Amino acid sequence: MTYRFNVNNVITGSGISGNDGDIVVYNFKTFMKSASPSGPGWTVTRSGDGLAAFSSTGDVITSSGTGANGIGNTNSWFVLQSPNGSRQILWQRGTANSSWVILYSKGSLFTGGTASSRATATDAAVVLGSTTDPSTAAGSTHFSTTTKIVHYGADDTDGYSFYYAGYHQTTLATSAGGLYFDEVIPLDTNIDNDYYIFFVNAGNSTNEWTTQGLGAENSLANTFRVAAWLYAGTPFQTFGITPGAQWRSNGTNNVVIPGSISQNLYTLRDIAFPIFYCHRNGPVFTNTFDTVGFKGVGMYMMQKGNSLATASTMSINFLRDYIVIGDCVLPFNGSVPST
Amino acid sequence: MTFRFSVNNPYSITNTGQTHLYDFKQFMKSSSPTGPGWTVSKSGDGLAAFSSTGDIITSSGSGAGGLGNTNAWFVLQEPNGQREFLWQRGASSGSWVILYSYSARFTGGAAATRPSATDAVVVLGSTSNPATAAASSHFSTSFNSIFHFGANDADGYSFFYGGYAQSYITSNNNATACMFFDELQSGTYNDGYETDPRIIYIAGGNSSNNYNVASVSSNTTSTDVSRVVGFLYKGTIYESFGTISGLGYVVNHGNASAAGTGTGYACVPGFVGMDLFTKKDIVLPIFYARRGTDNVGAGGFKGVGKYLKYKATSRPYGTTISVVSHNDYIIMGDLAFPFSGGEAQF
Repeated sequence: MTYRFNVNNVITGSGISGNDGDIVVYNFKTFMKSASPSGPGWTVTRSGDGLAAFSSTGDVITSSGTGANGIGNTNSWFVLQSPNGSRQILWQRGTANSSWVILYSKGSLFTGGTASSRATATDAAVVLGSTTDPSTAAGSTHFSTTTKIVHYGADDTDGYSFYYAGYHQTTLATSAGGLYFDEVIPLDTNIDNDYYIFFVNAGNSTNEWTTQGLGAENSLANTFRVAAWLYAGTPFQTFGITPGAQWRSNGTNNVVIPGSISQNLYTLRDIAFPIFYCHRNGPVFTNTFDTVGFKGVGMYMMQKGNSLATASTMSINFLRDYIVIGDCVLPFNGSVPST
Repeated sequence: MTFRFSVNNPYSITNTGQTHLYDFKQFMKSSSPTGPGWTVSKSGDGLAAFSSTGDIITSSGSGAGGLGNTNAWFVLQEPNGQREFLWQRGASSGSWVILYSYSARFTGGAAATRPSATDAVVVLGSTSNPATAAASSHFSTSFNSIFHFGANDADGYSFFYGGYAQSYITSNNNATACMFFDELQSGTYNDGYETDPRIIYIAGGNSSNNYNVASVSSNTTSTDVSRVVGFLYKGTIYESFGTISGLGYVVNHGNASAAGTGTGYACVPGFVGMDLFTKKDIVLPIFYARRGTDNVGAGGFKGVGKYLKYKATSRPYGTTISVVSHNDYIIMGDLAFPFSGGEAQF
C-alpha cells in the first residue's frame, strides 16, 4: 500500500449558511478522484447537483459553490467507487453545508437517482444520517462551521482505506468533524468479506476523534460512532455500532491506552497501538443492534500510547509519518501540520 | 515449539501445595515429549539434605527428601540454562516464596536456606526483597482441586500450573494457585532492545480475583497478591521489576467523561461472544503495560502475550474450547490456557 495525502487545507469557517462543509467534501472528492500518486484513484460513478444536472455514469459536480453543478445545493450528491469496483460510498448534502448523509454499499452498488434524489442500493447502510433507513435518512451534522485545518489521506492500493479529518485552527479542538474508512484485519480473513469500519465524526462534540467517540456504544446514526458490518453474509449480519476498545488496568478503572503510558524508553520515541473493534454483550439499546462479536483489528488508524496534543506528529517509520488528532493517530505525509 | 501437558491431576486437601508443586517439578524435569525438560539445578529439603547440583526432593511428603518440610526448596533451570525459578515452602503447605533469576542464576544455599542470585526478584513473597521475602499464600488449603500443567519444550519455554475445585464447587474455583510464565509475541515488543520478553502471572490462594481480569490487570504494588509481574526496560536506567497490568478491553458505553477516565464496560474478556462465522470460540491476546503513575517504576508498554489469552465469550471453569485444534484451550476464570486436546475433568 501507499498512502496518498493532501494535507494542511485551511477551510475558513462560514457559519451555518456558508459553505465550509461543502468545500471539505468537494476537495475530498477531487482528492479521491486523483490518480496515484496525487490521490487514490477512486471514481465518481453517478451524481446529481440537487438542481437539474444528473449523471448515471460520472461526475456532474464541478464546484464547491451553489448553482448549477455545485455541491453547495441542498440534496446534491455523488457516489465514490473504490478502484477495484467493489464498494461505493454516497455523500448527499442536507439543507446546510454542515449537514450530510453518508451511505455505504458493500457490493450491490448504487443505481438510479436523479438530480436531487440520491441513488439507492439494495445493501445500502447508513453511516451518517438521522435514521437508519437508507431510503429516508436525512442529513446530520458532520462538520463544525469554525475555521478548521483539514487533512486528506487514502491508500491507493490494498484495502483503499481513506480519511478526511481535522481540527479547529488555533484552538486545535477536535470537534471539526470527519470520517475514517479503515481496513481491519478481520477475525476470519477468508470469511469476512467486508473487513472495514467507519469512524464518523459529527462536528459538534468534544468527544470526536477521542476514545469516547471510538468507544461509544449508544450512539445513534446521526452522531459520532464507529459503524461496520458484523458477520456480513450470514444470517447474523448487521450494520451498526462496532466500538473501538480502549485498554484499562485495575479492572475497568484506569485508562492505560490511549494516552497514559510513557514514550518507548528504549528508543525515546512515541508509540501508537492498534484499535480492536468489537460489539459486546450487555445492555442493548433500542437504537443499537443485537448481534455481538469481534470485528477485527484496525489497520491504519491507531490510538496514541503516550499523551500528545492534537496536531502533534509521530515518527514511527519515518519522520512525521503519523499525526495525532484527539486520541487517534492517523497516517501523515511527513509535513509539519498547520495549526 | 510444542506444548507438553500433564492434565487432570487430582489433589486432596491433605498436603495441598506441596503435592501440586512436587508433581509440577517432576513434570518440568521430564524430557520431551513427556515434559519440557527443565533441570533442577539445586535443592534442599528443609532438614539436612542439600544439593548444589541437582534434585534431592524425592517426595511430596515431610521428612528426609520431602517437599513438605518448612523451608524446603528447589530451583528449576530452563533448558537453555539461562533463567531460573526458585520455589520455597513456607510454614504451611499452601504458603510459598517464588523468586526469579533472569540470568545470574542461584548460588549457595543449604538444606533449609534457599540460595540467592544477584539478580533475583520476588514473584511471590511478602516483601520485595528477595533475601528476606517470606512465604505468602499460594495454594488454597480448603478444598480438593484438579490441576493442569503445561509447558513449551522449546522456543521461549513458557509454562503454567493452574486449576480449580474438584466436583465443580463454583465458589472455590478461583481461590487457588496459578502461575503462568509466558513469552511475548515477536514483533510486539522492542526487538533488539528487550532482553527479557516474558511476563509472569501469579495467583495466590487467598483471593477471589484469581484467574480474573481484576488480578491480571491489577496495578498493585504489593508482592504477595495476585498480579502480573515482569521486567520493564531491562538493561536500561529505567529498569524495574514489578507489576505490569494485563489490560482489559473496555468500551465507554457512552458514559465516559471528557477526560476518558469515566465508567468503562468490559468488552474482553467474556463479552463479545463466539465467532458466528465459524460457530467456534475465540481467544484474544493480552496486552501488557504499566502507567507511569502506578508507582512501580517507569511506565511503558511491555508487549503482547503469546500463550495466555483472554476468553472472548462467557464460559465456566474447565470448559475446553477448540480454537485451532480440538480442545486446544481450557477456560479458567477469564483466561484461556493452552490445553492438551483431551477432556477436562472435574
